[in-house]
Amino acid sequence: MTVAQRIRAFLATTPGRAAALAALGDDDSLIDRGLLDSLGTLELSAWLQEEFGITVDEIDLTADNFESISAISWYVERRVTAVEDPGRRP
Amino acid sequence: MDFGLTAEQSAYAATVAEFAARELNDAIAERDRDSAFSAEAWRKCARLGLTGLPLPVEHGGGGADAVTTAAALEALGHGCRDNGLIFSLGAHLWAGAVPIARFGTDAQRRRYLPAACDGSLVIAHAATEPDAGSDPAQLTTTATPVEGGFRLDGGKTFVTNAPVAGLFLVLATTNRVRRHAGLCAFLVERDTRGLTVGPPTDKMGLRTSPMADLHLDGCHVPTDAVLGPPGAGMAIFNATMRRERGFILAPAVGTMRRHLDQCVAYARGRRQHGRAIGDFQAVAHRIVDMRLRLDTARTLLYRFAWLLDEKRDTDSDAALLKLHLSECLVQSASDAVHLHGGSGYTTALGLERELRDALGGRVYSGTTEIQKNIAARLLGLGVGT
Repeated sequence: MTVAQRIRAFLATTPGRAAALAALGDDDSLIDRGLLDSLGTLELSAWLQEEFGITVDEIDLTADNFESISAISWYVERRVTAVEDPGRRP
Repeated sequence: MDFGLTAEQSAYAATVAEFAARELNDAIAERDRDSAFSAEAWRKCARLGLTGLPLPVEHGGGGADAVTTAAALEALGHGCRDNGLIFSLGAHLWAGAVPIARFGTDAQRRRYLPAACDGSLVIAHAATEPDAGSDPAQLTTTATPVEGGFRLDGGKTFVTNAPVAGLFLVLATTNRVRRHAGLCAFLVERDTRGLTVGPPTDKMGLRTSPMADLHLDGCHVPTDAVLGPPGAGMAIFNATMRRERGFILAPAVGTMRRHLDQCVAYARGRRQHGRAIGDFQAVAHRIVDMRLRLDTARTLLYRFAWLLDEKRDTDSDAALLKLHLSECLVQSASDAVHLHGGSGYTTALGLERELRDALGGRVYSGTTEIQKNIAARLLGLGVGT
């Protein structure tokens, strides 16, 4: 599974989200569709850290990074790179 | 996890407890009656470094880690019976100064943190509105981009420290449709045109901690008043609430220890029916329950602090800690009143004030029910907040 697919699968585990996610493209806004609220971001952040072994800094919990599945995937890939190559800026 | 304090941490905590007992307890009953904040006590706290304890050393703070901070706050709660003063200190630190240290620009840190540390600047956090409390996505205070900055319009309520604050951390929305994603945090100085502080709010407890509403009417702030990068308002709010929930009641562990000490001494000395009342099982068991609540609350506090120092995820722990500590504190104060009988119910011992002060803990920084909802959501349960 790709990073995006894993994120989509996790998001679908929350009751009430699965049907809406099925009709959502990876670039569509999770926020504007009401699929990711403030607490949902924290919930997702905790899962990302455990699932991908990354650190999600508090200041990174922004709309830019959590707008869509694509944005989250891109953020995760940058963080994974930072873990694997600490000298490189994410 | 190692919850043992170092010799240095223990010595500092002992210094804080001794200072608090000696310097911060003057005329509390009178100040409680008059809803009077003690500027002198605040300055004394500042001189000991408490107004900047966890803030960076380069800006005048103590640079204390989370465990050291927890130990100092526990000691403060044990020595100081002015719970309102302690609450104001917590609001200043966790919802004001720490977010600036964490998310501010170098210029913002240099401008505000030295004064926050030396006690000359009190900071207030203005987030709650009449129709938006624990759900900041519902905020209606707007931030409209204008030339050179933003115009803020709206009203805030229950702003702790507002009557004495020189700086307000104001949460507003730049786009209400985007809900939490539209939030932005601003640093607004008290003399900014368009900002008005309402009359002091009269409260049941924590009366020595001043509170008021805030009105923003065409309040222009420059672009460099924005805290954090664009779109980071919600991130700042979440990070702020995590520390506030985790630490705002840290002194209550010391307060509960003081309640326990006082009740044990009373139960050993007070005699009824020819025996010390502590010899009666009903009394002894109530005191044992106080001890159990103290120990569980204390363990959760230091676990939270340890996790924070380890840079581990603490959102759920902060909610559970705030929930447990606030409930334990209310029960501890209630038990202390009850065990002292008629004397506990009068104002003479100050225990009824402790109970009134404790009840606020169930409400501020998110009610007990909100903390449970947060913990449930972070367990993957679809509970709405």
